Amino acid sequence: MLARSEFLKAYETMRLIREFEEALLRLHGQAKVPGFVHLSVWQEAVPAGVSLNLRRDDLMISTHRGHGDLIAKGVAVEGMFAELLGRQGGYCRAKGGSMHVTDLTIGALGANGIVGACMPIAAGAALSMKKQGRDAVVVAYVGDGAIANGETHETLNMAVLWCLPLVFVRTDNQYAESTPARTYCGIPDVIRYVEGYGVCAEAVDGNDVDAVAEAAGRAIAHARSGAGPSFLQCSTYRKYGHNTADVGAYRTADEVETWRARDPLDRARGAAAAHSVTAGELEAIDATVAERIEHAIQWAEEQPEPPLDWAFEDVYGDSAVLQAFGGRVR
Amino acid sequence: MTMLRYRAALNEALREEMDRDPRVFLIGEDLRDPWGGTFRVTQGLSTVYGEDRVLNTPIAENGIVGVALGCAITGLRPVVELMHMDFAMMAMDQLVNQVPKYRYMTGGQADIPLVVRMPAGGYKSSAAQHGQCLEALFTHVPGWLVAAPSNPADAKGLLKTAIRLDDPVLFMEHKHMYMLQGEVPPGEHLVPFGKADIKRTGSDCTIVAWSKMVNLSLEAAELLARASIEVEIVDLRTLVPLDEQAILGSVQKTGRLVIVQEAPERSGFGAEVAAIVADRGFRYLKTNIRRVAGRNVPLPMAPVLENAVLPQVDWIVKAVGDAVATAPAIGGIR
Repeated sequence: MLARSEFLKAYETMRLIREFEEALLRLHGQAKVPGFVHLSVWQEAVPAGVSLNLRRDDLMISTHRGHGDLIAKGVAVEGMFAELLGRQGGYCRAKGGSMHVTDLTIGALGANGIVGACMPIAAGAALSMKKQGRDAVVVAYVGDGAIANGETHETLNMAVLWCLPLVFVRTDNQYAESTPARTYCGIPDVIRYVEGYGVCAEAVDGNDVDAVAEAAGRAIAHARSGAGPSFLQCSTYRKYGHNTADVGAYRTADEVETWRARDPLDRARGAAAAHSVTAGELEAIDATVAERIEHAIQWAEEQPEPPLDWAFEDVYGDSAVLQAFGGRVR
Repeated sequence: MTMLRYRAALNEALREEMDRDPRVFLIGEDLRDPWGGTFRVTQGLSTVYGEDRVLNTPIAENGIVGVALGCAITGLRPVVELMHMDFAMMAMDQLVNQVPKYRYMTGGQADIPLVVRMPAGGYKSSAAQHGQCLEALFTHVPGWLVAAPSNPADAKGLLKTAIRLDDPVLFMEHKHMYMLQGEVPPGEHLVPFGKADIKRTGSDCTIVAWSKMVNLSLEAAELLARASIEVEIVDLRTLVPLDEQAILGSVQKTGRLVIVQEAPERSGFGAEVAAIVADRGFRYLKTNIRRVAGRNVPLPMAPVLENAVLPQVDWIVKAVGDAVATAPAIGGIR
C-alpha cells in the first residue's frame, strides 16, 4: 500500500488527468479543439501509479491516447492545452497536437499516432541509456490492441535479447478501437504471449492505484537493476468512445455501468482512510486542480495563433542542410 | 589519392567517423565479422570497435529503424544498414511516419542524427525483391535527406557528411558498384549535400543522372563524342537537397535534357527533375525533355530479360542522339 504522501500525490495526478480530459471534451464540444482527441477518463490510475516510481531522468513514450501518461510524467497541462488548441506556447509549436505532445526536457518522448510504433522507439531509448552507462529506465505505454502488432513482437524479442531497461505498460481498456480482445487475439491472456518471449509479466488491476504503483515499482526496479524488461498488463476501461467522434455504441450500457462502479478516483477516495488521508484533504486537492485547469485553459486561450512561418520550420534542423535549401525549406 | 573500391570507401568513411565520434554506432542485420555485412561494407569494424558499436539485430526492419530513432533522440548517432532497399518496405512505418517527422511533430525538440544505408539497384539478376531503386518513395516524404553516390570518392565523402548531419539521411548505395574502383582522397574528405558534380562538360545536351546511371551516362558520352556530340553530365549526388541551379545552369547552356533513372519511369525522381526544368527552365529548351528509365515492370531475373527493362548505354546514346537531331520543337523561340 502506498505511503500517505505518495497516495496524495497519486490522487492529485489522477484528478489532474481527469479534469484535463473532461475539460478537453467540453472545449472540443465548443469547437475550440481542432481535429479529434482520444480521452483516457477512468484510466488514470495506470499512469499515476507507474509515474510514482519514475525519476525525472527516466523516459517514457506513449500512444494516441497519451494525455494521462504525459501529465503523470510531469508534462504541464498549460502547454498541453495550448498545443491542443493550436496556439503558441504549445509543446510542439502547435504542429503536433494531441497525438504528438512531447517534452524531451523531462524525458517525455511523446505520444504517437501509430499503434505499436512507440515500442521500438522505446527500446532504442533503453538501448541508448544502456550504451551511455545511464541507469535511467524507459516506460513504454501501449494500448491493448498493440499486442497484435508486428512492431510490438519485434520489440519484445529485442528487449529480452539485449536485456534492456524497459517496462511495457499495457493499458488494456478492453477495446482496440471498437474491437474487443476476444475477436483480435488468439490467446486473450496476453501474459502467455509475453512470457513466451522471456519478458517478466504481471497482471494488475489497472483501476487500483496502489496495485499499479506496487507492480510498477517492482518492474522499474527490476529494469534499473539491469535485470531486463518487464510487462505490466493493466486492466481498465475508458469512459468515452475511441475518440471524440465515437459514442462507443459497441459497448452495452451494463458493461459501462459495471466499470463506472470501478472509477479509479472513487476507488481512491474509498481507500483514503486506509492511507490516513481525510476527505477534506482530497477535496482540497480537487479544488486546487480545478483552479489550475481553469487558469490553464484561460492562459492557453489567450495565446496567439502561430505565425504561418512555423509551418515551414523544423522540417530540417541542420544549418548546413538549410544552407543547401537556400536558407529555408520551401 | 588512393585507389579504393566503392565498398572499401564506405568502410573507410565508417571507420573514420567511428574514430572521430564515440556516439556513432552501426546497427543492422549481419554486420559483424567474420561476415561483415552482406556486401562486406562493415567488414573488420566489429573486430576493431567491438560488438557494442556494431550491433547485429534480428530480422526485424521496422524494429531496427525504430530502435535507431530511439537512440538518435537520446544522444547517439546510429548508422543503420537495411540489407536491401527492398527490405525497407518492412520498415515503412518508422521510415515514413516516425523518423522524418519526429523533429517536426515535436516542434523541433530533437535533432535526428540518423543514417539509413540502403544497398539498392539491379543488373544482378536478383529479380523483383532484391534489386529495386525506391528512392522516389523517400524523396517524396519531407524530412528525409537522400544521397545516391555514383563513385567511391563520393561514397566516402557523402557518407562522412551524412553521419555528421543532424537530420535523417537515406543513403542509397548501388549494389552493382561495390566492386567499382576509383580514386578516393584519404582522411578528411567531406562532400556537401545539395551540390551536384559536373562529371563531364559539353555543349550539346545535358544528362542528369544519379547513382549507377552516372556511369552508364559516362560510357554513353564516350560513344557520342565519337559522333562529335558533346554531352554535359550532371551527377546529382544528393536528390534531397537537390542542386536545381546546377541542372538549370546546364540546360541553359545546352538547351537539351535527357534524364537517366534506373527505377521504373512512372512517378520516378526523373519526373521531378523534368517538372522543375519545365517549370523554371522551359525557355532554355530547344527540344522536349527525354527520360531514359527502367520500364514499368517488376524486375525479371533472366539477364536477357533484365537488360530489356533496365536502362542500357545504347538507350542513352539513342535518346541523346534523338534530342540533338530534333529541330527546335518550339520553333524559333530560342
